[in-house]
Amino acid sequence: MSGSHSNVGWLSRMGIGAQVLVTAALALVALLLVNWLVARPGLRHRFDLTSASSNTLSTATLALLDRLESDIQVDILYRDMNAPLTALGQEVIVRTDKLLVLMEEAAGGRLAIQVVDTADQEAWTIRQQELRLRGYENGLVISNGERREFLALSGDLAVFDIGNPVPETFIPPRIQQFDAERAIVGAILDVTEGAERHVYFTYGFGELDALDVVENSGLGMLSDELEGDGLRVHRWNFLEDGPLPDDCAAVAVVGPQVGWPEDMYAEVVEYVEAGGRLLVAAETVPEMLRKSDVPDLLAHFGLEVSEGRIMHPLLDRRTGLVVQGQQECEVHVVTGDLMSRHPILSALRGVGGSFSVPIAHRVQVGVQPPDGVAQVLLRSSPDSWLDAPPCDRRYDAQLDGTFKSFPLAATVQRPPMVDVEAPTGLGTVPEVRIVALGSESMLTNAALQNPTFRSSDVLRGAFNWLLDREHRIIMEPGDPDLRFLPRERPESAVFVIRVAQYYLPLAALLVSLLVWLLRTRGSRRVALKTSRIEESAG
Amino acid sequence: MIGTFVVARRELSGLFMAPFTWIVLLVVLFINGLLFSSFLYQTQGNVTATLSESMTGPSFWLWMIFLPALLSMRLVAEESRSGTLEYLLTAPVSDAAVVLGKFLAATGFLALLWSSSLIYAVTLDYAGGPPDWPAVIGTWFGTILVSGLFVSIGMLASTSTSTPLLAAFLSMVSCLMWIAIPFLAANIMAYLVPLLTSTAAEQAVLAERMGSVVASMDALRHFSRSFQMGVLDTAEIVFFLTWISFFLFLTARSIEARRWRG
Repeated sequence: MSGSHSNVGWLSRMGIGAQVLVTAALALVALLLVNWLVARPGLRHRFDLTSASSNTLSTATLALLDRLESDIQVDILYRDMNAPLTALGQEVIVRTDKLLVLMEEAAGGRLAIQVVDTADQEAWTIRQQELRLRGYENGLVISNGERREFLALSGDLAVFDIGNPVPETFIPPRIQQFDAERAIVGAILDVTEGAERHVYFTYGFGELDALDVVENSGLGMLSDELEGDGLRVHRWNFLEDGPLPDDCAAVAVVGPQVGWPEDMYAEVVEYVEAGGRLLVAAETVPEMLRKSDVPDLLAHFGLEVSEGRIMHPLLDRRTGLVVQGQQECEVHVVTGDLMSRHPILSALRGVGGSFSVPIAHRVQVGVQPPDGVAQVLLRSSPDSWLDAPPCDRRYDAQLDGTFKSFPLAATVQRPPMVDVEAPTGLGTVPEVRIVALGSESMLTNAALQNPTFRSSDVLRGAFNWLLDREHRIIMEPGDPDLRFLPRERPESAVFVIRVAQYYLPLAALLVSLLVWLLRTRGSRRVALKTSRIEESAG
Repeated sequence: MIGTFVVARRELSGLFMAPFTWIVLLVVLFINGLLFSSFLYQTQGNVTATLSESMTGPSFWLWMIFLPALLSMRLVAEESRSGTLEYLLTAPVSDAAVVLGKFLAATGFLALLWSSSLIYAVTLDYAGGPPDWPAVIGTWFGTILVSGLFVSIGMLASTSTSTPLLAAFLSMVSCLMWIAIPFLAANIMAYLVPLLTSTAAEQAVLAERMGSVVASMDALRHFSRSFQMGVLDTAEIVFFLTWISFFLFLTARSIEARRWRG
């Protein structure tokens, strides 16, 4: 009998055990399933709690990562920065790491991150050889196969201000700008784009020289800026170089003073009609502008350029009187309210920036393209007038008309006007894009050297828009959002340290003593009550 | 539900009446205070970096190995040894309520302990270095979830024995194992993957798949990619809640098993 009982007990236990195991296994499966489900993009939601949205990637970055077609490798090669930037360098490293984590998740396996231990000499040497690096770089290497770009911690990922270490006039070091997202996205683009992008500046017909960095009227500084953005700048003359090369990504026509040969004009028109990209800036002198092909070229695409130039009255600071006839009447300060809502200007508008346009003709939309859009990019101030030739900078009601805001630049965006084959991947979408500027002067070395003009961002923006790289320009520099204890009051840090190190543990000690006291008194009362009960019972 | 709160209240008041709890509290506050001061000095007064390091740095994970083990030892194994657990289990509350109540008490205690970081943040704010409050609160919420996970692991390990010291040891090892999963798995995979595959391509694929499985269980990774950055991520919240539920479920089953084990 007893043997039979123990047999049943053993079987029951086995049954219950098996039941528990199966339930646990089912629970585990359910857990894994739920976790898998909630990690799906549609169901997953992330809420960035940081006040500077430092954990939110811009839409441009997300779009780029979403359409990545090749695997990107990010090698992290950090080193401590020298004093006094050590702590700030560390801060940039932490922020960049967070950014890379976000990018890695958004890229869906297309972005791999590898931390290279620069302290491990052997591992570092091997990786250094693999990456074909020299020296002891501090930053990131973005690679796509054999194409790679290095981003320096100081300069690319962030801009530091070393401050002033002199005690009397001490200014602490700081992070001026946190640019990691923009820099990484730019580098990814550079290493993923199929080929280098080439911009051809027409040359030989009075145009400004794209490679001249010496003369004020040269465009060399602009070319340097474009080269910095990963573009290659060339001069192009149809008579010497023949038709536009196949690798032409954009044509720039800056201030021709005479007409082109017919073949050259036809070549440019055909290129643009087939989905080419064109930047045109009008020659300053009305007579030369008239002689050039620029008015006809723009009219072909629905834009009109005036021979006269836009002026605005100037207020004499000493007398308070309105003056005319001075060169300053032709320098137009374009503030946010005079900029259109165009991708070229969105970053500048976003940060409340402004820039100057010197010596400009009116460029307006004549005919809207039937299947695209032509729009004014910039305007002059509302009290401007159009000074008719000979442009003496003086208002003449009979010639110059009324005071109002005049368009200084315009853009055209439309599908190709002839049948073309669409490329795949990250290649530029076939689309006609034109930027027409009323001023050639805003592109010159003189303008770019002048810190009050600040026109380089707009020009880079214009070229990036032309080349379908808006993400480079709509991404604003990150807010460093640094929170430090006030350095001018060292006692504040002392107070914080005292609270953390002494006051808080001391407060806990006092509460614990209070609890101990109450507990002891409570247990004494209980003991007293018990002894009285026992006495009365006895 | 009422039973859960009754048990939680009983356990919390029991915790705060025990000298052991206050000793733990004092030691943690003192060491955390020292570390916080050191971080503040190292980062030259960087409020965000100091708070992040003190709330989520290596010291936090070190505490996560010891504290849940000590608490769960007291909550389960010590009660089992003294026999009070049997009284509790025969009380008119379900096993689940007992387990959940104890879990809430231990997690609540740890939440209180980690709220010292909020006091540091208030002090920094008062001293002129305002922290990024929403992010700090989000990180604090994450530390509570991590604490909950490790308390639940510790409680499960503690149910396997009625010897408190052994229970504490088992809990510590379990918590350590959970933290060390990625490191252990990487070593195991380095040996295992070449044995299971023949070509380099297969090795890469298998290593990647196993790596993703391991990463999906890596609590450090889940925490560092969301709460530590000041992000509330629904997938990460669900990760912690589901694993907590799973371990609590196993704990309840393990306590229930005492009945049929005899």
